[in-house]
Amino acid sequence: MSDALARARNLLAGALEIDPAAIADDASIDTLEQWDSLAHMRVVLAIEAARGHELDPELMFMIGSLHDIANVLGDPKT
Amino acid sequence: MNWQPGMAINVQTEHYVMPSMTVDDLTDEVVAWFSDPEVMDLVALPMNLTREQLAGLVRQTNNNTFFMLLIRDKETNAPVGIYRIWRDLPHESARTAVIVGNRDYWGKKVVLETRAGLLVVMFDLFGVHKVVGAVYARNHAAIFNYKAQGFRCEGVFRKHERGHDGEWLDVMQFAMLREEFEAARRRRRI
Repeated sequence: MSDALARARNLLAGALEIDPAAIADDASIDTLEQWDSLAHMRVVLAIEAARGHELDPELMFMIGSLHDIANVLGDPKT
Repeated sequence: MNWQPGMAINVQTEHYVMPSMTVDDLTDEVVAWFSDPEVMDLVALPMNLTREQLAGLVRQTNNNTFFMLLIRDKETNAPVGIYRIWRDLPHESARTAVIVGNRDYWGKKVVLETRAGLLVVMFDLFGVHKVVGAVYARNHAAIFNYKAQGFRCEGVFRKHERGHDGEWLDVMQFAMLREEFEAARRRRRI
């Protein structure tokens, strides 16, 4: 498992207040019942805290899965 | 629903009813939403609208090109929020905006459920070909709802409107076309 994916899983688990082990690799807003609008707000704010800056709106809209979070965390250009 | 332009509507979903608003719906509880900083934080309406100002807004509705619907809990009848819907007749489209003023219902997927019901009304009853919504780019909860429902982001209007503190805010526009609505319905996302 990549470092970014592990960090993404921990970030998502914290935002959704669930066990990281409960998050499958293909987890997304369509598969995680706990990923609701308030949880999504926590996800975005946690990503921004980790990145140290606000996300561009277009990028923010792309975030809808564990892998999306990993990509944002792992890509220094975002 | 047997509806003609000008008639009040009452949209029902599993947990909510959404009747056309009247001035009588402006109870103290509903009016107080518009003075709640957290409710109004990322809402494109002025803060502290008075009952009379809100009544003026409700009186502008005609249940044809402008609707205001009060979301009520079907079981308790508690007011939950308000939809505004603008129907553009020449261009066969509709624009919606929602406020969930009752904090007890935050994080309960109210918008996903209720807007799904409204989409059916707008596409099937009104016959629109496109439904549009716009939110401030920092309104992550609203953006989630659009994404989860299958709307597409059509663009970002940079520093497009002033927020309540006078700062410039980016606005994101979302839309769903009829064919996307039909596809979402087939996938049971709506």
